[in-house]
Amino acid sequence: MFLKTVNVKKHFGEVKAVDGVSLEIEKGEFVSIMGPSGSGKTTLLTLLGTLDSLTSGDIIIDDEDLSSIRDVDTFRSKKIGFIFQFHNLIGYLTALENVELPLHGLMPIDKRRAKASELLDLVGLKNRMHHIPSQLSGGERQRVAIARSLVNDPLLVLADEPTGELDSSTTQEIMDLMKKINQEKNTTFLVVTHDPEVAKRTERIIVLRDGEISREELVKSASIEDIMTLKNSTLGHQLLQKESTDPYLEKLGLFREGKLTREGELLISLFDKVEDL
Amino acid sequence: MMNNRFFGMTFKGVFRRKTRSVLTILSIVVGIMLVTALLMVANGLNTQFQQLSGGSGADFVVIENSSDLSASRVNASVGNDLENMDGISWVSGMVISTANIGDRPFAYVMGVELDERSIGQFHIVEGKTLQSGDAGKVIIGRIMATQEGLKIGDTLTVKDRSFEVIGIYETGVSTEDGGVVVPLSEAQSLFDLGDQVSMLQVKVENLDQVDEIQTQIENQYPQLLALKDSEVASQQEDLQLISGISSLIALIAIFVGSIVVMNTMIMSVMERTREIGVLRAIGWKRRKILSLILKESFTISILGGTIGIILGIVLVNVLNDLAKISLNLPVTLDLVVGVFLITIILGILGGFYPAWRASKMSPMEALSRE
Repeated sequence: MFLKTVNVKKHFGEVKAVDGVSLEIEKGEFVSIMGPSGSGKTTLLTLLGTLDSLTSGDIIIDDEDLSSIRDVDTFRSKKIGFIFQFHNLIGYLTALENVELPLHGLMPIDKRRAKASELLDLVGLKNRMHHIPSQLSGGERQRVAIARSLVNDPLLVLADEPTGELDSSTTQEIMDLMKKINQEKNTTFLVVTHDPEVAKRTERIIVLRDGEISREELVKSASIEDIMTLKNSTLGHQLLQKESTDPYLEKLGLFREGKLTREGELLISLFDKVEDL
Repeated sequence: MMNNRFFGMTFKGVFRRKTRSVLTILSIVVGIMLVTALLMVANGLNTQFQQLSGGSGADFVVIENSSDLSASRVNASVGNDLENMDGISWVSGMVISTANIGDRPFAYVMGVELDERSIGQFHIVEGKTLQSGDAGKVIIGRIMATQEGLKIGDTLTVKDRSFEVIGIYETGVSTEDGGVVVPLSEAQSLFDLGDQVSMLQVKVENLDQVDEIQTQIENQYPQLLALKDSEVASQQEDLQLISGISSLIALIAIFVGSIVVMNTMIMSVMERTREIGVLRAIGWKRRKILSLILKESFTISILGGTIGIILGIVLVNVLNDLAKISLNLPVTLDLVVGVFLITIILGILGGFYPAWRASKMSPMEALSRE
């Protein structure tokens, strides 16, 4: 298991921000964390990102127990990438300089430059490298932030409301980009969001409530969604009733003389299978 | 575009808020300029006093144990007595005072004995030197000649008395070259000194005995001081005052300068809470943040210091020319290094606390929602 938490708790005095979360995430998974505000989403993210210490429990990332790591700064700079809600780029530095920030002190400037421009190319901003954030659109800024989160070749990218400030079409664009990187580089993504549309684009949704996992579900693909839609339609209703007087359904061979045919039965069994997923 | 290779990020950080940084740098410029100017004046005066016995070859001078060289009075009879003392080779009396000559309010007027070794320290470059019986005649320094446009044969007025210029000399000491030399007796009468002189130049027979003879003179004449060149300056109260003031101003400059830098850097750090949080979150260590902020405060203080040193040197030279004081104002390595040191101390004092605060900031700030 790439990432594993065991009964993780983070209490701030009386407030139990995270209260016994145990979860497992495979390498290369694309997972979202949802939940109402105050449910502990962001706190969980800070714990996984080694930005804050646990009250109790264990977090293991890439076979390393976080509690036994002395130099968390170095661990973070090598294995984790962050994407924040407000892009959080440094306003007086260019896109290129922002992207190379995590590499400061880790490699000489020429290599830093090369690596940073490679990533800006990957996120489609090759022509905007020398612009400062105020000269970029909201979507472009978030692309720069994504490039920055990836420049250290992290195993895990933690994104905190990465589309919180973006309109819906830009949101789709950013999600497409993250999915593309997830598939191409096999980077594990963990996205905190309150937007169901964003969560639907991930592979698994973990829902938090009052600091605990209240629900976990695998996200169904679009085709599965279509089958569900079909089930809830008039056609689906008639199939499930096993009765129809619709001549067109007769012509399609789903019914014969008002009775369900074998083809009709097959469709119903498909509905059941989808329900069981 | 600015080269990011060395100080790029630091420079951009400093000039993120242009007006504020420029004003901060300006306040350091003013402080460092004053410090530089005062130290140069103090240095210049010091050097001048150290060249008193000049080219005569004297080993030390004897002056009155009073506060100020210009007020020093020594009876000529003491000179005669000293000349007869064991171990002393020769003694020469000299009057040093200032008078308004032409545009120069404090031109040196020196009264010198007319024997070869005394008058001989004023090397004639044009015309001829003073000789016994040359009443109403004067030789003038090269700077005086140039600045006042005087030539051989011209007439010069000192304290309502006219003198004919018969020679132009050069000693290399700018205050001397900006002054005039008259026979000792003329100077005594100009300044109503009777048979008193300002100081006696003394040459000993054996250098090993200098200290001994100095002590002997001071014991015999408690109202007098026997000083080597290097000791003269330290006896001058005016000079001590100027040195004291320049040290004080340097301290004030460090104090005020570091407060200004600190204020600017604290504001800057506070405004950049999120930025610093992000840098921490992406893996920058505390000491890297510390050095980022320290570099910025160093940049501010060193920029201010460099401009301040240059302007201070320019300022002093302009004032020196305007007031026609002709002080020697060498720009020494000591001076530049010293002022730079002040600038660096200022940068460290002003930058350390803000940098320390920045390094304590939490990476969680990067995730704050406001």
